[in-house]
Amino acid sequence: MTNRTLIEFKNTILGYGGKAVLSNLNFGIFKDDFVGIVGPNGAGKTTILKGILGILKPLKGEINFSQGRNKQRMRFGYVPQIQTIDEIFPLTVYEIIMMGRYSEMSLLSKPGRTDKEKVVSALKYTGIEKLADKLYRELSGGLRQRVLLARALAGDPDMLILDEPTNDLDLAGEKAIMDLIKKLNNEQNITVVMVSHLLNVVINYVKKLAFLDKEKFHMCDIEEAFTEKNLTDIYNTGVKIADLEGKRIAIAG
Amino acid sequence: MLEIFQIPFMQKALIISCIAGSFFSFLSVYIVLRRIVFVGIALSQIAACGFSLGYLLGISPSVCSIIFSLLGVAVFSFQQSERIIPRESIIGLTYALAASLAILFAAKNAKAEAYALNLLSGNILTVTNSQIYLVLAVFSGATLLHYLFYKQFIFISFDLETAATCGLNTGRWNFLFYVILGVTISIGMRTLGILLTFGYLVLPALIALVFVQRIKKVFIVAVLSCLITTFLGLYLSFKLDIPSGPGIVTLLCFILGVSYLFRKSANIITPVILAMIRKEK
Repeated sequence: MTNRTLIEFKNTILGYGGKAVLSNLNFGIFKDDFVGIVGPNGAGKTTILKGILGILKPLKGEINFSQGRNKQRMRFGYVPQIQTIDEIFPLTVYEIIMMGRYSEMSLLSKPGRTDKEKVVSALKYTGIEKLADKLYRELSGGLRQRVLLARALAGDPDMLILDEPTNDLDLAGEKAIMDLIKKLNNEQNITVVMVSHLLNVVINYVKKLAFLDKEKFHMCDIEEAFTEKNLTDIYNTGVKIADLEGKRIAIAG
Repeated sequence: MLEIFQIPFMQKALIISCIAGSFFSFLSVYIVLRRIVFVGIALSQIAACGFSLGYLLGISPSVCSIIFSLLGVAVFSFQQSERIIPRESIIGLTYALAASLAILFAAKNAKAEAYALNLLSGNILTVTNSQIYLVLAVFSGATLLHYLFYKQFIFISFDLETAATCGLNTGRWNFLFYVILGVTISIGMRTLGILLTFGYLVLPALIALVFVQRIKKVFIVAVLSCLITTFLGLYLSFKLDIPSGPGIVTLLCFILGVSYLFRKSANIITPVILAMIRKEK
């Protein structure tokens, strides 16, 4: 089952209103992958996520999706950037996580026993079971990120897609959320694709690194990708790599 | 106090404003939380413009009003890009155009004076039984749709992007949301007037949000505050001989102001009292 291709881009061009943003995309995402997509702001990271999620149709070429479990369509667990969520809504943590189950319910049905069990299970896995009745807007950034992650998990996803999951988090929050994502990849065998502009956050967790810059997209194993030459080329500035107690860091200059 | 509601026209006014007001105050929660308050006033004005044109041309004003509302719905539900003109500006532009055209159509109509004022402030004291049945049928249907599709509407309102990734056709659900809004505004505006329709579409949710912090309770308190205010507003408008629509809206604003001050003072006073109790212990 491992190494099964879940999504394959073939000569794909992605863009908006007929205007290409990313061209000649040729890559695959495999089962159990943990892919980090990095690149400067405006490089098209969100565009490629939309392509992977299937909500942006290619202008040219193909995006092939394999079937998910039980030969159903592949299920995505999407975690948006926390800044895109409007905290004015007086919704509880439980209510928000339940939204992750809506795609599993029929048009008119209300949440059933299985849905409630899945929500409780997601609450427990992300360590926020005591916050179920709290309002989302009352939580810190790190806890809000856990809520959005739990919502994505509640839908039993084949693939987790995370858009800048460490934005606005302090160092402790950043580490906690990345550890949790890695645990999901290792223990639950959920394929993970995450976008981040923070290279140092991504490099110590992912298995594959994808660079995105000026319509160029290049993905390879982390060991192969993480070289000073590659990083210097991508970021257009000198980049040094250092090792600090087993953790890799990239420094500009 | 209750005897004035034994008068037939007051009974009808109470019934129609409670039916339409309850639904609008339910919708007000979405409107306030989705930050589309100005879409509400713009759609009310577009409906009034359609009504005015229908009256001028001698075709059914109600049908004309619904058609205009649906055109407004098409603009507001699909208009996404903000690169050239910001969304709020398009709403403002639409409002200004619709308001101007409504007045121009009325100015060219010999019988305009009476209904032009009614369009703005409404005239719930002159509603007929058939208007009540129409409002009851349309608003019951709209309530049923919102009950059945609660999970879809709340999901697209809270997080449109994630809803799309979960396989929800967000464009279609958003359009349905706006169609319900547009059609009920067209029907309600005919009797309630633009002012009361807009008041119901905004103020009850604000009152509820001052008092409660759970979405389902916000819906309930919004509807209850609308019903209580409508009852009191009609009573006062009868007793003080003032127009009912503006009376109810003023009362809603007054209750909102008092509620807000009460909540603020409670937030300040409660910790002081608790500290005093702790000190005495």
